[in-house]
Amino acid sequence: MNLETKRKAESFIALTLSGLAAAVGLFWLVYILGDVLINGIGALKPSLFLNDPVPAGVEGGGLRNAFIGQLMITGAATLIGVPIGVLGGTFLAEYGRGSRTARAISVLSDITVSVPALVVGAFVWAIVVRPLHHFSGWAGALALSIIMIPIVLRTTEDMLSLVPWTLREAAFALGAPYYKVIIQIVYRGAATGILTGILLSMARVAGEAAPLLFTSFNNNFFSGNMNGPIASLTVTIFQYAMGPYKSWHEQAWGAAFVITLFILTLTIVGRVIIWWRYKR
Amino acid sequence: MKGTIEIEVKDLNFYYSGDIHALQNISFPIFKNKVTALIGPSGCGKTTLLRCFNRMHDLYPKHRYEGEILFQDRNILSNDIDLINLRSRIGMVFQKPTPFPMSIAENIAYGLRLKGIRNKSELVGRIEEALKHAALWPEVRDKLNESAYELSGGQQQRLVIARALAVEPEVLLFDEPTSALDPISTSKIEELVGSLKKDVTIIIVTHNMQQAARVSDMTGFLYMGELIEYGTTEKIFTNPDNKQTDDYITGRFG
Amino acid sequence: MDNSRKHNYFDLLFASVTAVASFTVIIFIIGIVAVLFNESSLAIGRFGVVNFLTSTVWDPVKGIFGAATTIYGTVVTTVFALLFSIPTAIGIAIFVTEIAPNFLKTPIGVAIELLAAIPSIIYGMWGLFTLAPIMSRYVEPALKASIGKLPYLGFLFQGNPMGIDLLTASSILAIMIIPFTASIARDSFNLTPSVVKESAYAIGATRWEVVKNVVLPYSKLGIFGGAALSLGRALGETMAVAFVLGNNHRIATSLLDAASTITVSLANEFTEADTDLYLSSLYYLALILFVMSFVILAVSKYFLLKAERKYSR
Repeated sequence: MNLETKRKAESFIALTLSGLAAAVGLFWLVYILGDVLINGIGALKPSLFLNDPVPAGVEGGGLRNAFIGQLMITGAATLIGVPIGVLGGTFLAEYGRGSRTARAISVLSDITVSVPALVVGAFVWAIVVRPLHHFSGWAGALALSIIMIPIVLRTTEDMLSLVPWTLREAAFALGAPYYKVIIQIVYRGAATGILTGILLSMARVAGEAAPLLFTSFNNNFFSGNMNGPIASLTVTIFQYAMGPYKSWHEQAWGAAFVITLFILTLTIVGRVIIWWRYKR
Repeated sequence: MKGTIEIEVKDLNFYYSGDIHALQNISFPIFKNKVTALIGPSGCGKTTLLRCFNRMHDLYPKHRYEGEILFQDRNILSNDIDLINLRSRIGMVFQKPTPFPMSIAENIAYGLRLKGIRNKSELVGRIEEALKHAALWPEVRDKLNESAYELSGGQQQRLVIARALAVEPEVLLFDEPTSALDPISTSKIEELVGSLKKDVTIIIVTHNMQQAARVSDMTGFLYMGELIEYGTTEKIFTNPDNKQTDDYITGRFG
Repeated sequence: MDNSRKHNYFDLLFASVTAVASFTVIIFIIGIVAVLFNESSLAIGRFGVVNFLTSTVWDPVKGIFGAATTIYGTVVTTVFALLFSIPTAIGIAIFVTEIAPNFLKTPIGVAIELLAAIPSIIYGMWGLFTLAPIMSRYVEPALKASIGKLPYLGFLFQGNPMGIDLLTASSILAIMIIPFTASIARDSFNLTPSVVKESAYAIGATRWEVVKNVVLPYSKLGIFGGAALSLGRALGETMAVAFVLGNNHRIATSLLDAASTITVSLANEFTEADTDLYLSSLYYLALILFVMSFVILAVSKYFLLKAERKYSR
């Protein structure tokens, strides 16, 4: 066997191995998605969305409380996290641009994004839940917003930096003050990008269960009161899947399907917007 | 050729990034309602000089001005000058077209609103007037509410000029306004510059000597941060006093 | 000019508001460290540092706590997860950037990004309902009957194959971080300038030689940073492992044994901690976890930044 044949064979083997690795990796992932899809669709019944939980063994229970609770907690987290994140990102990309402080905050945010979510829950428990003596939807929302802020902040920074600098100069040259340049020109230019960042950060926090375990806790009854414990889909999935009842498992699959669908939809919409805005 | 002096540059020195001495002892007058061209090889400081007139350098840290630029007898380099007011009186048009991410009409209304004009009918009138002034009106009259990004590069540049004109500046700075444009668009912008000088004083930076010769009344030649020669365009291009100027004009440079 | 004085005032106001907003990130980090430290001070005072880190006792009834078992579980699950996932992820990245025909590149790339977005609780639940039975019925008995009989390696596969154990937990964690690691590895691969790749092809290198001699060396900083980032993520992961690890505080030498990690322990015991010392010890665990992941994430960020600086110009 001459050298060239040997090299070609080596190349073929190595590439086949990496192709196999790819196939194996993708196989599991497709398996998981398929499982969630099949078991989840089977569990989708009107009662899942319209009814509240019933005692185990009784027919016709649902997770209305958890669906509503999840929306309220995620919505409240967005209301807290988005303004702070967008404004913070504005500082990094505009007023603080290039400064040591801004770079440090940018790097710290990247780290904070991956910090254990459970620890954030324990943090909020100590500063909100214990002093007030009860779990609450607001505490859950705060925990999620702490995870959300660095994500929104970094995407905002990146998207604002993509707006050409000459556009700002052109606005300055007309005699616009910086805050007007930012609000009226730069935000407009970066609006779709920032919106996408917000969607993706919502997708990220909507699937978090760990930070809610100690903050919004769980509630087997319907509650719209953000000052008390509130059910969420993710915590309910944890509780139901670990529980002993078949009907609970079925509802956990249903909830898993809905939340996966919700998150994948947000992610796809976000990606499509980016593709449509920046690739064309 | 003389006239009323609009701007007087006196012993101007400029430093950036701490200590890079970008402009050295520059002094010359700029006459009202004339077109003044600044020419020279790249890196000679012509754009740097231009950006002193509206204090654009102030956006960036570590710069330092020395000397004076008198605009209607006030030193615009002094610390108590109001930059926002200054920039609404001395407009600027950039190398690449810089339309804002808004409709054509909104782009022009933007500057007007900054000046505090809110009245709807007045805005409409001023938008039309500015677009006519910039010779763009016939091309865009039917699509004022479309995005400014739909326009061609040359149209965008005229839109930007219209936007600058709308706030009625006394001086307009052009920083190589045609370097990103095709020849036809370029000639339209050049005609426009010629027709605008009855209303505003124009300072234009260009790397294109023919352009300077075509559009300007006065020309300054800069080299290595110094103003080598300044005079009427006719004199600079036909009979310059300085050898370096002559070399540059005739293309024997570097 | 009144108008412009107003402008200056608003500009200062807006600048301050944005600055304060960006400082919340620092405030949260300092706040988290301070709160975790404060809450765990009771346990730190009682058990000290070295003693807590090395003690294998976790006895809520007697009120004696040590972190060694949970740290052990955390490290073992994470290390095995990385052993499974990093080669796979690099394989995927090589496949996507260098091998796949163009019409497959985008769909696979998108699929990986989407899979990275699936929340960990879904992975955990799938592990409990689908993977754990497969493991206990087929995979683990097979491993026990083969590798379990070997000398030296045999100890890894002893005991009852229940499916609720270190092996299942590591597998779930591995599957979960594959897409995440793969997308970072792919981004690092893409930093390789195509001119360099082309010139290697031009002197007759095979595809694999280009990958081995050009792409991998070029992207090693990025891959290293990406691996560290995955490590940091895996360390702090709760929900993917909470379902299938069994929360058993012991040093398990066999991968077929139930164990616990810091996160699993916190998730299961936090709301049930009935004494101050118990709660304080849990916070102590959280503090250890936070410090560990923060340091690892900082290292990863350092390498990723270095990679970016080196090649993006």
